[in-house]
Amino acid sequence: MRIIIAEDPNWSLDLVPSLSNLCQRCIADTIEDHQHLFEKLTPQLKDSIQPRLSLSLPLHVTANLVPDGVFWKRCCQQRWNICDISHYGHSWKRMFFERHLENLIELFVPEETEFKVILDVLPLCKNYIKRLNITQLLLPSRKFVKGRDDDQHEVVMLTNEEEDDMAASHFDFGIVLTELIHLEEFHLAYKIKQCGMNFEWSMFQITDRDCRALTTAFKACKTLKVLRIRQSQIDDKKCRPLLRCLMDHPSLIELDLSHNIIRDAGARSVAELLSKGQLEKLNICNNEIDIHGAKALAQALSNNSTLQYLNLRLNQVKDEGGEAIAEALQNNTTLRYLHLGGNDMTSITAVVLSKVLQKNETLKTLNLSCNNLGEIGGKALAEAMVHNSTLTECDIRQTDIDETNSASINKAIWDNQCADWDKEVQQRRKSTIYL
Amino acid sequence: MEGKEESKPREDQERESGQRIKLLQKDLSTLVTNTQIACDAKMVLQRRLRAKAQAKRLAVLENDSTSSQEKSDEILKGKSENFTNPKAISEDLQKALKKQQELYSAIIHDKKAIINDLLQALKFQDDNYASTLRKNTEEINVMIARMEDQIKLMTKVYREELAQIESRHRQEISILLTKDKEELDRELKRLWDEELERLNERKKKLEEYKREVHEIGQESNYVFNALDYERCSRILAQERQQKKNTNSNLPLKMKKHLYTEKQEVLLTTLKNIKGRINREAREIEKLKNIYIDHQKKFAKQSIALTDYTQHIEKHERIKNQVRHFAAADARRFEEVWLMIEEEVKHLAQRALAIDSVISQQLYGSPESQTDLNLLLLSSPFRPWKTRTEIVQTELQLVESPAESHVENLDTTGSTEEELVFTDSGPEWEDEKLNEEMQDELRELLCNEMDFLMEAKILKLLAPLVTEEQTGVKLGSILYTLGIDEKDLPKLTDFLVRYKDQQNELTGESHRASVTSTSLDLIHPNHVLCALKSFLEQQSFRSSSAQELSRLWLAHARDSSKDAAYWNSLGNIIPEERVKLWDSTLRTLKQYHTVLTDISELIKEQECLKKGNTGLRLKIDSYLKK
Repeated sequence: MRIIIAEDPNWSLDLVPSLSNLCQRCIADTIEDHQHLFEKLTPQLKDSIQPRLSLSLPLHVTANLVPDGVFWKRCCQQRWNICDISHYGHSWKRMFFERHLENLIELFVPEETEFKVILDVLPLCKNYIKRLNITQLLLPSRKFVKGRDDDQHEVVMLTNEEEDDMAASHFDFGIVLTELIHLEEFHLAYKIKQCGMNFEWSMFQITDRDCRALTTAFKACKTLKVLRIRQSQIDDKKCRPLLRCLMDHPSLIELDLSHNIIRDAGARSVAELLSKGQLEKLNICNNEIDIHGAKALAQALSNNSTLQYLNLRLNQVKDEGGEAIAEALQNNTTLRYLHLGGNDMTSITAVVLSKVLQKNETLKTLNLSCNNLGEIGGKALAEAMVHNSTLTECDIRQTDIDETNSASINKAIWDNQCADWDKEVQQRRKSTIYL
Repeated sequence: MEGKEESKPREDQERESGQRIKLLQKDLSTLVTNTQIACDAKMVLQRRLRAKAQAKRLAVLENDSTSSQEKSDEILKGKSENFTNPKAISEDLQKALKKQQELYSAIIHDKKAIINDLLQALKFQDDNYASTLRKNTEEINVMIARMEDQIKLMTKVYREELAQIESRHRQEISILLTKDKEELDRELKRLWDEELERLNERKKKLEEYKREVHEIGQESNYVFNALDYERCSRILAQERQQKKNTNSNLPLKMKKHLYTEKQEVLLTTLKNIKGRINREAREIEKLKNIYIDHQKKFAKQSIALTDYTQHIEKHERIKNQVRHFAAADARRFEEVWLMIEEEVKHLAQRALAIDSVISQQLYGSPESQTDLNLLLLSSPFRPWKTRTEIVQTELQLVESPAESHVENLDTTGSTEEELVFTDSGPEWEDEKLNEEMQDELRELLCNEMDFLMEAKILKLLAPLVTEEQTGVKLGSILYTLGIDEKDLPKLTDFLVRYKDQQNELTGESHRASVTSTSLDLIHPNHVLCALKSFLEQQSFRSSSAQELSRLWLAHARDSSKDAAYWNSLGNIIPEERVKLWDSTLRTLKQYHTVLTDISELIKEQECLKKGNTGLRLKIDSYLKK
C-alpha cells in the first residue's frame, strides 16, 4: 500500500471530502434538473442533503420531493420569526404549507387577485395541511374606496344591503376545502386586521353569499373535525343554513361559534345539531342566547350522549334557562365541562344545580362566575359539595357567596382534586409495575 | 418492613410536593382567570346597564306613543265630529281647527322632546363609551404593570423557595447518605471479619492436609524405590549372561574380519594405481601439446629476435654517432670555454690596468697593478672528472676506518697496473670454475657494496628472494660503479689475482686453495680495495672518447661553481671602485665643460685681442696721419 503524505504538516486526510460527500453536494446543487436522483437516495442520505438545499428552489420541485426535516425548518425560520412547531404536530413541513396557504388566503383580494395563485399551490400542499387558521379575510377594494369617499353613500349602501351583499363576498373556500383532503381543523374569522380609520361594520361580518359558499364547501369537506367561526357577526338567519349543512356531517366533533349573534333561533338550530350530530365540544359563548334558546339546548343536552364540553359564557339564559340546563344534567352522563358564567342567574338556579350535583358523577368542571348566586345559593352549593366527589373545579368568583361557604366549597374541591390526583398516581404506578 | 416504613414518608413527600405544584399552578392560573372573570363581570354590568337604558327608552317611547295615540284619537274624534256635523259654524270649525293644530303641535313638541332626549342619551352614551374605553386602557396598563410586578415578585419568591427546598433536600440526602455509608461500613467490616476468620480456619486445615499428603508421599516413594532396585538387578543379570555368550565367539570373528579388510585395502590400492596411471598418461599428452605450442612460439620468437638484433645493431650505430658528436661537442665546448676565458681574462687585465692608471693619474696614489690570478678563483672547468672518480671519493669516505688497506692499495698501485695490463687478455680457460666464482663474486659484491645503493631500493627489495635480490642489487651496483655486465668475469679474475697479490705481499701463498673454495676467493674486507683498484684500471683502460662521452653524459658537469667563477671575473673591479669611477667621470665631465667654456672664452679673448691690435694699428695709423 502506498501512503502519500503532503509536505504541509497541517494537511490530513480529514480535509479531503469523501466521494459520497461530493456526490451529495452535486445532487443538492442540481436537484431541480435531476429529481429522480434524489428520489433514489436512502432516507438518511436525504436527511444529510437537506441542509445543503437552496431555499430559493421553486415550491413545485420541493413540495413532494423533500421529506419533512431540516429543509422545511430552514424555510419556516426564514419566513417567520416565531415558529412553534408543537402547534403543528411537530412537523415543519406541515407548518410551512399551512402557514403558506393561510398567508395566501389572508392576502387574497377578491376580484383582484387571480385565483390561479391559490390553485397553483393547492395540489402541492393538499397532502400536508391538516388545519387552516384564517385570521382575516379581505373584501374587494372597490368597496372601501366607495365607503371612504362619502358618508352619504353609506346610507344608500345600508338600504341596499341585499344588493351589496350580492356584490360583496369574501374569499370562496369551496375549491380549497374540496382539495384539502386531510383538513381536520378550520378556523375562520371574518374580519380585517389593522384596518385603522377605514373601519366599517361591513368589514367585520359574514355575508349571505359567504354563508352559501361555506355551506357548499362544508358539504364537500368530509374530513373536517373542528370548525371555528368567531367574531363574524353570524346572526340567526345566517346561522341556520350553516348548521343545517353540518347536521349530517360525518366527522365534525367540535363547533365554536363564540362572539357571534346567533340568539335564540340560532341556539335552537344548535340544539338540533346537538341531537342529530356527534359533537363533543360546543362553544357558543357571547351569543345573546336567552331563556328559550337555553331551554332548547337543555332539551338537546338531556338526550345527548356525546357532548363533553359546553360553554355558554356571557349569554342571558337566566334562572329559567339555568334551571333547565341543570335539570338536563340529571339525565346526562357525558358532560364534563360546563361554563355558565355571566348568565344573570340567581340562587334559584344554584339550588337546583346543587341538587343535581349531589347525584351527578361525571361533571368535573363547573364555572358559575359572575352570577348573582347570593348566600342561599352558596349554602346550597356548599352542602351539595359535601356529597360530591367528582367535581374538581368550581369557579364561584364574583357570585356574592359568603366566605365560609366559598371556603367550604373550595376545601371540598381541593379534597376532590387531591383524591383525583392520588388515583392518577396509583394508576400510573400500576401501569409502570405492569410494564 | 423497614423498606415499607421508609417508602411511606417518601410517598407522602411526593404527594406533598405534587400538591404543592398543583397549588402553584392554580395560583398562577387564578391570576389570569381572575382578570377574565373581572372582564366578564364588567361585561355583565354593562349589559345590565344597557338593558336598563333600553328598557327606559322603551318605556319613554311607549308613553310617548300612548299619549300621541290619545291625542291623535282626540283629533280624529274632533275631526269626525266636525265632519259629521256639517251645520257647525265656521267659528266652531275654526276653533276645532285651532285645537287640532294645538294638539298637533303638542304631539310634535313631545316628539321633538323625545328625540332630543334620545339624542342626549346617545351623546351621553357615546361619551360614556369613550370614557369606558379610556378607562379600560388605563386599567389594562395598570393591570399589566401590576402583573409584571407580581410576576417578578413571585418569581423571586419562588426562586428563594426553590433554593430553600433544594438545600433542604440536599441536606436530607447528605444525611441519608452519611447514614447509609456508616451502615455500609459497619456491615462491610463485619463481613470482612467473618471472612477473615473463615480464611484462617481454612489455612490451618490446609496446612494439616499438606503435612498428611507429604507423609503419604514419602511412604509410597520408599516402596516404589525398592521395587525399582529389584527390577534393575534382574535386568543387569540378564545382560551379563548375554555378554558372556558373545565373548566366546569373538576371536574367530576378529580374524575373518581382518582378512576381509586387507583384501579390501589391496583392491582399493590397485584401483588407485590404475587411476593414477590413467591420469598420468593424460597429463603426458597434455604436456606434449604444451611442448608443441612452445615450439611454435619459439619459432615465432626467433624470427622476432632476428629483427631485434638488427634493431640493436642500428641502435649501436646511432649510439656511436651520438658519442662521437658528444665528444666533438665537449671538445668544442672546451675550446670555446678556454677562448672566452682568455678573452675575459684579457679584458679583466685591461680593466685592472685602466684602474691602476686612473688611480695613478687622478688620485695620485701610485698603486701597483694587482695580479689577476690573485683575484680570480680557480677555474672550475674540469671536463674529465668521471663517475669513477666520484665513486672513488665515496669509497674513500666510507673506507676511512680501514685506512691501512688504502695504504696498501697505494703501495700496490704500480703492481696492479702491471698486473692488469699483462693479464688483460683472455685469461679464463676454465669456464666452469669461472661461473661458480662469478656467482660467488656476485653475492659477495652484493653483500659488501650495499652502501652504494640507496636505502629506499634496499627497503623495496627486502621482501624478495635472496637470488632475485642479488640480481637486482648487482645490476644497480654495477651501474653505479660504471662496470659493464660483460666485464664481470674480468672483475672476478682481477679479484682472484688481487688476492694472490695480497697474499704474495703478506708472504702467504694460497693459490691452490683459491680455486677449490669460494670463500677463499677474496676476503670480504679486501673487496673494497680490490674494487677500487679494478675501477682505476678500468678508467685507464677505457679512456677512449666513447667512454668519456658516456660518462660525461651520464654525469652532467658541475655548473654550480661556474656562475661564481664568471661573477668573480665580472666583478674583478669592485663595486666601490666602479662608483668611484662614476663619480670621477662626473667630475671630469664637469671639468671638461668648464674647460670647453674656458677655451671658448680664450677664443673670444683672442678675437678681441685681434680687434684691439687692429684698432691699435688703425689708431696708430690715424695718429701717424
